[in-house]
Amino acid sequence: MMNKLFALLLAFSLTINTYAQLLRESVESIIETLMERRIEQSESNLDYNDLQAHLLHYAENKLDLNKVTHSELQQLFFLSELQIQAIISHRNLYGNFLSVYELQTINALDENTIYFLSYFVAVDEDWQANQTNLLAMFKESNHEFIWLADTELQQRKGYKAVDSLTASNHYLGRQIRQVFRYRMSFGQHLSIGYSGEKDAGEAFAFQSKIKGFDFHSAHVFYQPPKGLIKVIALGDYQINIGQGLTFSSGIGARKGALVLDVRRSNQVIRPYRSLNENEFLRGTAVTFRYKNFNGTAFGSRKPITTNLTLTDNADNDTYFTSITASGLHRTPAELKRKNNVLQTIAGLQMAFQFNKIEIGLLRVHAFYNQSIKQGDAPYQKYQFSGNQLQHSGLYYNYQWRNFNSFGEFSLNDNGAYAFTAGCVIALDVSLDLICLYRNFAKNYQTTFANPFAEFADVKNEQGYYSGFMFKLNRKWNWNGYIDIYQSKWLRYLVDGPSYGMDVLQELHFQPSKKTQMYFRFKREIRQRNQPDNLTVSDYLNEQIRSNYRLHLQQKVSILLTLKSRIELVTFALEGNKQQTGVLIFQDASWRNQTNKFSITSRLALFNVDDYNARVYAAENDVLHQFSVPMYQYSGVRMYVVVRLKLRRNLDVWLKLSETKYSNVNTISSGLELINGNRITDVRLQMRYNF
Amino acid sequence: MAKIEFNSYFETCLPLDTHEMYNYFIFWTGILCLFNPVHAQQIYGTSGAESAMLGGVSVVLSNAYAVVNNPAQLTSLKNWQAGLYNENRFNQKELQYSNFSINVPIKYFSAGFGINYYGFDQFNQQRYMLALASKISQQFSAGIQLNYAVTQMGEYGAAGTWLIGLGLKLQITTKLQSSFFVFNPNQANQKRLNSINIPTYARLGFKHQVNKKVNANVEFEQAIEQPFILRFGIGYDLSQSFGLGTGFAVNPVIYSFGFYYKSLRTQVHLASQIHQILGFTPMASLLVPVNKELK
Repeated sequence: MMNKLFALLLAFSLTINTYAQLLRESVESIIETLMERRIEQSESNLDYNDLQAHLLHYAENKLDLNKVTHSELQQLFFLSELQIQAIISHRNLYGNFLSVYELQTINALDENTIYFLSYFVAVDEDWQANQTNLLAMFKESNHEFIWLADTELQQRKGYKAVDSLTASNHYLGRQIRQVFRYRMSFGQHLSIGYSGEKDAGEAFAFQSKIKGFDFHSAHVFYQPPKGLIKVIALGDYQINIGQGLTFSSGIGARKGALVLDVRRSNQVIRPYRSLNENEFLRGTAVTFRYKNFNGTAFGSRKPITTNLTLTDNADNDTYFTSITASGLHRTPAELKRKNNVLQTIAGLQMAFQFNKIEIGLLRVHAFYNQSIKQGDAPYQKYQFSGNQLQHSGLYYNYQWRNFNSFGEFSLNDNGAYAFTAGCVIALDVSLDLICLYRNFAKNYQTTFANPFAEFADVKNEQGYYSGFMFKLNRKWNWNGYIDIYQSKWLRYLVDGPSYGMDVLQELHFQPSKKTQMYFRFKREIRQRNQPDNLTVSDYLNEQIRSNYRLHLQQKVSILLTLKSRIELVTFALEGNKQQTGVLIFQDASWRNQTNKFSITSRLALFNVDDYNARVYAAENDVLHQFSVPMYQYSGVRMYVVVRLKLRRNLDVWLKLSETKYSNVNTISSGLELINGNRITDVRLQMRYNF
Repeated sequence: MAKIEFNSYFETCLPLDTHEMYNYFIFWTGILCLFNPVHAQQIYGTSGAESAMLGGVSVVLSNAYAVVNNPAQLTSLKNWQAGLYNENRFNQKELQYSNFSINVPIKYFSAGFGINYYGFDQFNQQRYMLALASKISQQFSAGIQLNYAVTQMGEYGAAGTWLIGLGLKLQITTKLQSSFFVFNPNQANQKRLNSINIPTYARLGFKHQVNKKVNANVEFEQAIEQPFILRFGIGYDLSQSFGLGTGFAVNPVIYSFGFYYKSLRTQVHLASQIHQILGFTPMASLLVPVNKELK
């Protein structure tokens, strides 16, 4: 049996290896493709830089197929439950993988999945880890230094000469964003890193609230191969527990084309490598293991930026109503608010694994040294007020053959509850189903939570999600989901109980290994207050946003890849004219034979009637950056990203992008105002690794 | 001044009997046609009755008119070809649009030259095109189009502008082809005549050879500040020499129909389009080999 398998593998290796060598894309390109399929559309880039950093880490420190765990594979979100099971079962049945190409003998993995997977897994990649002590890991680690500078050629209003009238309302720093990163890593076992960032407009200085860069982040992360301590993290880290309902500062899955990517993975502690100035914890976290028991304790204390205000009463109390998530400290006013509240979080988690069942318990306390106070609007009635919050959670995960069930129940100390439960069933090699129900009380309150949900505030939501992936044959795949939800209490701009529905259908066609096409239809129906209504009180109406996308990707040759897309968005609201947004783009990526030089470019033409019909499209960027620009108004956007490997250890990226609008004379507003109809961005990045 | 015979439904709208008023009407009709979203400034639009027959689908077609429609398609032509195309917009000879195109296959690339003419003596536009295309691989071709466009507006004078167009052609499978063409991506305008906006548009099209006789074509077009256009056309070869085609476009709705005759020495396409409001437009084009047979 093993001989046959080996012969088969050899044959595969000879043929596939040649093919793989010929048509292999860059890691950046693969990550861009995967992320775009996951996020669907974006309101913010911040979360996705974190997601990208996470994938890049695995691309640079590949998971060893012979040691990888179920939960580690879950983090490669493009794998279905059946596929993960199949990989683990194959290893249990036939022993260690001899090569990555052995994946092709697993029926559940299609060519596309293997192709993506090959960027993140290897065989015996860190074989030495089990035999290496911490000192040896330090000596054998990889080191990486990155410096990035990003600026716009058009001057924004905030940078113009300051006069006495505007002295307090201008940007303190130059119109350039700079990032410095250092990372030392040894496989999945050791990571030490520092990141510093100065956004455009922020000062780079050494003053009371400015210490060089505006934002600093550092971490030490160690995963000993053996022993009682499983993971220890110092500095900045993320916590991801259960289904993210009680507490999760990590990456959360959202509705996207990867319809099965709804369940959370279970890597509890993760080093923080991104530049989002809020979505992390700062302190210490430790996971212990003992037989089937895992326990994690974590503590965090970090300053946060809020809109801290004085009360009107005689006591001169202070309070805040919201946390500033932008991380921007460019004007004297923004700088004054920087780090004005101290947030302290402590938590304890315990998990037990019995055969196929995992059950975990969690308790989290959060304290603020200032109180949060909510407004008087009816929709704010149940939002968190006060300065401390405690919640507890219970989660489970059960695996039986091709059936996986998961869920979490969470309880606030105010008595409010929330729960989510779902299951993934692989009915056949060609058919996967997923169902998920969630119910979050209107007075449920959290600090960091990121469960699968329609709304980001994790409250006042009840919904049912159902999705499927159907492999019709070797060439055709059909994916889809439907999500129906309702809010029993009011929301911002929703003055009454409301409901909504999202539907996605995607038909994927792969006529050959070189070509992929898909057509995607998505419709979102949501109730909102009818704008400009003439009645005494607001009333709700349905708004319908439809999205039609046709995408073609073709590997023309070893070196050249083309992508074409047309996307149409329509937005309809009763009593209003339908708004339309259209985007057509053409991408071309070319690299030379030695892979020392590559160039990626896009030409996009867009025509968008209104903000509600805006269109998003992810675009290629320099390493560690990920952008999903929003297309609004009418015009043309072009960009070019050039990567040059100057020396074995030295890479340089340059991105030039320009958007020229045809129907506006100014761009943005306030201090961000640009007089003119074009915006040109230049981004330069250098990386030195050894 | 003699009364002009004017056989169209416009006649009823025009209580005119002077040549000046007639010219006035033609002038403003010409200007209106500039803003007709389907044929936005015809000299910047498509050429060839084959395209007209297929509802306006042009970006995937391989003939001499590819000089205008998508230069990358020139790489499909093995021999020299010259084409002459004429249309009378809404059956008005004063709204006549003509094109002459010629392509020259050279060893490593294909070259082409074309001239578009639209209008009448009070208002006319010319566009001179030089196209270069290269077959980068068996599947993939790319082309560039350099244009010089001139607009003549009676006493206001003339203005000329340099423009570019970029085209790609991709043979996805033996039966499926996609093409992309973008015109004037830098949004150049005729500065001397501020009222004349030159369109910027992108087209993405697919051609599927359903079987030996039938081909289905679809094209999406988006021009800046214009409605999105979808075109669809089906061609059917009745025999080796004869065939017909039909199609439609939306925004606004247009129906088209046409037929063609093909031989080794010539190709003739005759087509007509019906606009919902403005009526009937006849189109005709001729393709002839310059030195060898048509291939």
